[in-house]
Amino acid sequence: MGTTDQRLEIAMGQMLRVGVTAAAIVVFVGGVFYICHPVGPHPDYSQFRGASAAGYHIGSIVSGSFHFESKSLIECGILLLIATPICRVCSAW
Amino acid sequence: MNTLYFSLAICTTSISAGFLGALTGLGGGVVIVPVLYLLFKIDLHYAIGASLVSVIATSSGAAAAYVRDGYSNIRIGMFLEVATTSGALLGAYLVAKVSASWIGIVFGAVLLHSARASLHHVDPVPQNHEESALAPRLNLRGSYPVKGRREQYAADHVRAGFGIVFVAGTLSGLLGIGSGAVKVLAMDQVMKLPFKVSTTTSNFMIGVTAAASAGVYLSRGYILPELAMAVLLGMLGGSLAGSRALIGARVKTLRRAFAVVIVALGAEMIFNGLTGRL
Repeated sequence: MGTTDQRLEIAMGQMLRVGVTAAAIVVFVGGVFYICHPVGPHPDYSQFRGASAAGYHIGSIVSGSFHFESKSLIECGILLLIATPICRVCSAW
Repeated sequence: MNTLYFSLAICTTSISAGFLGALTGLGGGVVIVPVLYLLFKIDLHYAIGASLVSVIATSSGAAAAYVRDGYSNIRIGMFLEVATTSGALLGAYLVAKVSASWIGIVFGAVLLHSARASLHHVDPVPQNHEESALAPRLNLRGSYPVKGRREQYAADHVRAGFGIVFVAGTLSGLLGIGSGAVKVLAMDQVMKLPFKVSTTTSNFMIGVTAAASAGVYLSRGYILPELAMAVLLGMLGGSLAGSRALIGARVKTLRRAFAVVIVALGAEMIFNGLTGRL
């Protein structure tokens, strides 16, 4: 195994760790806002409501996150998380 | 039950699932989906979506450590990722096409297989086997640390392994799990790679496989942010604790107990699927 391979592996490991940590922090902050805000019966998840129930639009997620909206922050964290392994693959090219 | 208690209950359950999943090496996804569905009465699609997101987090977190230790073979991993991600896209496409009953039956079968695989002791494959003709051309070789020195290995039966890993990817996309057990089967038993290399490389591939189907899940609305939040944070915390506790724990007894739980969950999923309750 060459040194370039090893260097790439270390970089990949760091990228994964940073990505997962950042995503977890953003989701956690969103979760705190979510739990602090509404107190009432939890929404019913027993029926699938289709794509309209959870619409992911990058623009509204970003603007919502800046306004500390719990749902947007969590969505932002989930997108960060999904992007992490994809970035790892792209870094190898 | 109000929002706070509901989220806390799901988070606590996810911590246990992540902890036991990491400790036994089965992964948390196979447990959390049936538990969310059977215990919390959450729609199967939402359960699968929340689990898939958590699988990305737990596998990527663990992969970072394995890559550093020099066990995972990134070259073989990236080659097999072509199969797992295309399989995952097929699986995610199938979720909308296949009825929930069928998903439940397939899930139950995977649970029963996982329980069997976790108890059944597989003999280590001797490393003096033939090398596949494709291995030198694609450079599917490597070395890994054994007792202070590095031992060489090369992949055998590359085509068959590639095919099985594709199936593993499809199951991952269809059921929202990492399906590490099937990937390890392909790499360890078919491609004859060392066990430690197989498990760590399989874990390395899970993240990008799950990310591929997560894209499809997002557009279909399977990933509910509030639900995914509780499952994700719980599973991540639980699996981090589980991987630390690995050394010194009585894994054998725990693995048996966990297998019983998994068999029970699998049987109930199949029963629900067959009777059309899903």
